[in-house]
Amino acid sequence: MPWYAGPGELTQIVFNNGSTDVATITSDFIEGYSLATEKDSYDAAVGHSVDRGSMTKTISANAFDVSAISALSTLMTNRTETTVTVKYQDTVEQDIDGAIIRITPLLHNVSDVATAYFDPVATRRIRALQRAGQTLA
Amino acid sequence: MIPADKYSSLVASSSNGVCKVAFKLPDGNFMVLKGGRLYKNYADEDASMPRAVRVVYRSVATTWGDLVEFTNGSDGVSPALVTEEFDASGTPSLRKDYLHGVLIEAVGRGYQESDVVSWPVTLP
Repeated sequence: MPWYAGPGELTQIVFNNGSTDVATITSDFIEGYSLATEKDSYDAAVGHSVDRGSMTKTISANAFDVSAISALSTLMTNRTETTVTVKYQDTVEQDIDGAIIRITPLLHNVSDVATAYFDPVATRRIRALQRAGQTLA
Repeated sequence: MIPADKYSSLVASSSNGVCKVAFKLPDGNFMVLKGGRLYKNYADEDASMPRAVRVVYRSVATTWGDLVEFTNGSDGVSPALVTEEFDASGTPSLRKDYLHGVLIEAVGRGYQESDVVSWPVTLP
């Protein structure tokens, strides 16, 4: 049985700068998505951590869509308060409001989400040439 | 780590010691680190590095485009010079081959869940 995205599967992450959707990354370009809730604290001095009483929600994901990088870089540089909308297969949408974006480059990274293309015609031709003791030009 | 005698050839500094370091990529293009300065320190003497000099290249900027770029290294005659910054607009041709993506971290902060999260579309 082939695999299908089920209810609750993530389909898109959309970044809105307050007025416009500046970047949309589809799930086939997303790897390692997580949404973490943590308490907000800081160190007042060595050994003196202060619990601020507030909390943070952090979306973290590797995005392998190079066309979105420029827009995300602008959001980071301007420290734009961004609405990050996570869209799911069953049309449910969740917003993270007023998020600050940070991006870090992934260089020379071979992703699991890259699409692999298979050409059965070329493959059959290679096998025929191999049987004949030749190689593909 | 590079041998100590390489250091003298890396300090060709024209503007306040700012220089670029280019890495030649397997397809003949270059990944360039830019806007940085070189300094050296003497590594601790241990079994793996007996009296080594460590050369460090460090650049600091507010945008990744000021730190990393990709270029074909042409002199501009033939082929035409192609240089693409990390955050350049348009359709990338060089950088997409090596800059495969970005790690995104989006942090929302508030005093209660509803300050940070909303559900504009829910199941009926």
